[in-house]
Order: sequence, then structure tokens, then C-alpha cells
Amino acid sequence: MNKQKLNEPAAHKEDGVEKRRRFIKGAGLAAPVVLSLANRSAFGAAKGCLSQQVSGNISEAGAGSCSSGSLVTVWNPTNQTIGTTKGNIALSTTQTTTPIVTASWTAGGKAYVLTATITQKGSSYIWSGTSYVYGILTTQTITLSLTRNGSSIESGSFTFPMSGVTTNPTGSTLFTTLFPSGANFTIGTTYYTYISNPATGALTKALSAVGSLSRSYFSGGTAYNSISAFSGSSITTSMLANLSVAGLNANSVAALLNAAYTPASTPPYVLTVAQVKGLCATPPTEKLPPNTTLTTFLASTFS
Amino acid sequence: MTQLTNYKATKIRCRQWQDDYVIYDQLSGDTHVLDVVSGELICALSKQTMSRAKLLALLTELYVDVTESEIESYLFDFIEKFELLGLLISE
Amino acid sequence: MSNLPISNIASLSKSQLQQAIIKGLDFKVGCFNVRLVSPIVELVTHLHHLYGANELLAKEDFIDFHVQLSSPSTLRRYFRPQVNFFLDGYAPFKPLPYVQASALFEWGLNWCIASHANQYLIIHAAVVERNGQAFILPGTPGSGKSTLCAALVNQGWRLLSDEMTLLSTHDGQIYPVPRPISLKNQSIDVIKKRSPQSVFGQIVNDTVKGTVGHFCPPELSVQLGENPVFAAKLIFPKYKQGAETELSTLSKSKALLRAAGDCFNYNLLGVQGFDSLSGLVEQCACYEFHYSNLDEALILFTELSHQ
Repeated sequence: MNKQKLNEPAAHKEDGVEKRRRFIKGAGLAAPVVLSLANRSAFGAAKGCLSQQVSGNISEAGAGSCSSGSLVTVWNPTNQTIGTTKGNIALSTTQTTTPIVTASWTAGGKAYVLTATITQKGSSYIWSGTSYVYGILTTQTITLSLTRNGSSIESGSFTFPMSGVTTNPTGSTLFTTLFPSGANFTIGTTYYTYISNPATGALTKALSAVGSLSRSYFSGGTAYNSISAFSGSSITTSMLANLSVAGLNANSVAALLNAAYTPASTPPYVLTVAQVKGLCATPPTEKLPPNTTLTTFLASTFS
Repeated sequence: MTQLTNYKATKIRCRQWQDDYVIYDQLSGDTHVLDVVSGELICALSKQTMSRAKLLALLTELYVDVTESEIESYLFDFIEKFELLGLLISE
Repeated sequence: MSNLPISNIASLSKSQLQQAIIKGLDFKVGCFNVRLVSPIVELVTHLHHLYGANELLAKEDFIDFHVQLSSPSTLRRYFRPQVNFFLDGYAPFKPLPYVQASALFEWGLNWCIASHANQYLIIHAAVVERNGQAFILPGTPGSGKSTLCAALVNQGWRLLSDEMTLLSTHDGQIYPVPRPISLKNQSIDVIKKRSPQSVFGQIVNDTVKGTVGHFCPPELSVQLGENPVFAAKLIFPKYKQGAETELSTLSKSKALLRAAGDCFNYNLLGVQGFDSLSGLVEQCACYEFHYSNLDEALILFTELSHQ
């Protein structure tokens, strides 16, 4: 067999002197010609999709073809719109009215009482096509009233401060958390700034304050470590939100959700749920392609 | 003194059969079939870093009866194409 | 070949075979050891017809694939009944209709090999042998490779595989996995007409590939199931009605690229896959082959096997 040495250009001898081959240019020096076979997601192609070609299994959606999954950012709760196809089906809704919380002070010899009534609604959502809980959506609306010496001077909807509350306060801390010193809010159409030392004047009228009539936030969600083969205790929703903190887990969860989410109208994701779990298990029960890490490989299956 | 650009190939595996060149990009897993001149250039670059001047000299050696501007034009296309493919880096 | 008496599946009566499969039947499929557990009667018939020459294993032999086919324990056992395929207790597919159990067994075993046998570069190709030369015929469904493969086998060529060419990354040889040849639609009639003595298993209708039938491999091919061979020809067939019989040389680089695209695990093996495939095209003469006339194709292949 005439084996060429690796990486060596062909050479020939002419008149006893070794010379590099020379090429006739023809009708001009042609541009570089390259035919390429791009690397494809080896893992899924070797199993999920190609298995359909080999097996002719008609019960897999999109037999013979697979699709790449959605990016982590698509599954991220902050990008989710409730009720869209990528999850967020409401399981149940509860509504509670929190007991009245108040603040009271005396100014100019008059007694002021600020009363907040908080109505809280909680809806539990799941990622569609799975049994994984996306989170409990808590929506709070607040009505306020302000009395002076027992007589109402203002009442109406509370508008949340723009410089917002980012934690999820409950119970006795709710009022002080909602009304930190310097917070601007409205009652009805009147804007106020709340001053923490009521003796010097609890409320002053501010020039403007804007906010929303209700606020909502997600909490909870299926714990990561409750899904077999996954480890760690982070909650699914918060993990996806903290991409830089939990890069590996975010990709793992996104892969899991892509695998679990298989509507009839589109080809299935390149990996099955079992394969994702196998890859993420400690120790792994599925083999990664060579020369890659789990994070990189999973990211390559998204687009 | 002007800073000269040097070129080298990324991590590739070359195979050649007479005028046929095939390379495997070990970073991306892509496989490419190349024309003979590109193949000679990239495989030479996989062994050593070369300056633009050296690449021009190599091309001149490889081709007969070509003008300097044709060589320059080919090299320009080669560098552009192979940098885009991630097979060539300049330093 | 050993002079010791070897039991094969044909040495069992049908009822013995049925009892064995219920508990677990261990047998060789080329270079793989398979254990099949199933209560499904149709599978007994399938194995009895098409795997008679396959050697039974001793109990202490290592098993590569633990395969199980069974009906679900739900209502689907009775109402529009289904069959499931399991490997090591894991179901890689959704169930198929019960009547397709034998087809599911074949496709499932294909999947087992394609997904796990990564000590080989696995090309989606038929491979046959004559005069010590293996001819590899890559092709996607519809290329005509299975019909061509079946016709060659009927002419006396050794069958190594009709679906998966196993190229060892260790020694560069092709390792056999001779199994029933899967034919579809009109190909079944073509082969039956050419070789009325051919043994076919159950013809299954309404699969995603249409009508599918499996054709029994020659006994000698199965007996040579552990004998690897080097490849000599890499031929990309393309059946097209009315086409002239034409064999044209393909450059090694383009042959490599096309074969890589036809591999199940080229990407998985990385540079090892590239090196193995490079070695293969190095040692093979590479061609494109267009045909419509099967007789002319067979004559040409016979001539090539003497070169």
C-alpha cells in the first residue's frame, strides 16, 4: 500500500534533486475550496434520533429527526410568560387576605393611622409536559387608608415603590419592609413619602412616585435534589435565574426540561429524560462524548 | 519597526492522498476536504508558525506561471476562509 | 473452526425454545452475546425461523445486551395491544403495536449495537465478503443497499451485516454481525422472485418504513460470525429506476467525508474515528455506483471481487 506520511506534502525527485511539486495554475489561481462535514451533536444523534432511523419506531414524534432544545435563558423564570407553551400551567390558586397591618403616629397634635390591607393570591405552576413545579406565583395587592384623628383623609390603592422590595416579606415585617424610610407611594392619586420618625412629620407629599398596583414573584419550585440523579439542594426556578452562580446546574435543568417537554407538533429533543439524568448522575451512567465537559456538551444541544 | 502578523493552524489532523487533503479539526470535530493548495498550506501551518511573507513564498513555490497579484489574492482568500472556519489563527 | 459440538438455536424444538426465552435465552449474534427474555410467542417463531444457525451460549458467558420484550402491564396489554423493548431494564423507545414484536426486536438490537459498540466505528452500511475482500456499501434508506446486499448474499457472498459495518478502531478489520436482512416493500418481492428458496420471517405491514420483512442469513455467514476481514472496496450505491449501470471512482477524501456522514458514532469517537476512517479509505478502492438492473450489478461486483 502506498501510504503517505502524515502531514508531509508530496515531493518527488527530479534529476536527483528533491523538488516540491508545482501546480499548473490553469485559467487562473482558483480560490480555496473546502467541503465540510460539521460536527453534530454526537450523543443525541447516536441514540435518540438515529435510533428512530434504525428502528423505524413510529411512536416517537418526528420519527427520524430531532431538534435542539431551548436555551437556559428561554427557560429562565424571568423570561417566562404565564400560560405560554414553554411551561407555566397553573395547578391551583389560593387567595388569602392578610390581617390589617398599621402604622400610627402623632404629628401637630393629631393622631394619624395608616392602614394597609394586603390581598395575596398564590398560584402553583408546573413546567408543561412534566411534573416539575415551576414555582408558586404570589401576587399582592394592597389597599391603604389614612385617617387623622379617626377620620379618613385618604384611601385607595397602594402603589408599590419603584425602588422596590426585592425580598418576600411576610407577617410582622411586611409593613416595615413595604414602607422603609424614604419610600414613595401613592394612596389614590396622592403621592407620599414616608418618613420613619413620625414625630417630625410622618408623611410628606412627594412630587411624584410611580409603581405598579400589584406585585408578583415566584418562589419555591421543585427542588433540584428531589429529581433523581441530580444533586444539590437549589430550587429549580432559582437555579435557572442564577446562571453565573450555578452554570452547570442551569444547563442540566434546561436539558431536563427540554427532554421532558415534547409537544406532538415538533421533533423531540436530542436527549431523553433518562439520558439527561444519566449524564448528570453521580457517578454518571451515560457516557459523554470525548473531549468535552458536561456543561459544554449540554449547551451544544441548545439553540 | 512594524509588527508582522504570524499565522498558525489550530489543532488539526491532516491526511493526504496525492492531491486529496482531508483535515480533522480536533477542537470542533469538523472534517474538511481541501483543494491541494489549501491543503499544503494548512498542513504546513500545522507544523510551524509562518509569517505572511513566508506563506507568499510557499505559494510562489507551489504554483508555476502566476502573477504576484494572483498569489496575493489567493492568500487573502485563504486566510479569510480558514480564519472563519476556526482553523487558522493570527498572532 | 472448533471440532467441539456446538449447540445452536435450531437444535432446540419450538417448545424448548419458548421455555428458554421465557427464562432467558443466551445466544451469539456475530461478535456479540445477547440474552433475550420474552413471553411473546411470535418471537419464538421469529428466532426459530431466522436465528437457527446462531450458537447458544454457556451460562457463564458474559452477556453484552440484556434484552427484554414484553407487553405493558396496563390496559394496553389487551386493548390495542403493544410491545415494549427493554435494554438492561430501560426502554429507549415508546411501545409499538404488538404485531410488530419481531420487527421491534430487530430494530431494538440495531439500536443496542449502534448505541453501545463504540469499540467500533459503526458505518450505516451493508458489508459482504468474497475472496477475502469485504465490500462496504454505505447508504441511507432508499439507496438500494439492502436489496443489493440480499441479492449478493443469495449469490454466495458472505454476509457480515446488512445494516451496520463495524470497523474495529483497534485493528482496522470489519467485524461481522450477521443477522436477518431487513427488506422493505417491493424489495421483498424482488428477492423472493429471484430466490424462491429464501426463508423470510413474518411480513409486517404499516410500520414507518412501510411493509417490512426479514430474510434469513445463510448458515455459513452465521458460522463465520467471529471471523473479521479487511475491507477492500468502499462503494456508495444508488438505485434509480432506468439508470445505466455505472461505477465511477471516488476520491479518497470525498469517500471519507461521505462515509463519515454515514457513521453512527463518528462524532462520538472524535479523532479516533477520523483515524479509523482514514485507515479504511487508505486500504479501499472507493467508488460511486449507480444501477437499476440487479443482474448487471451482480456481474460487476463479481468482477470487482477478482481485482
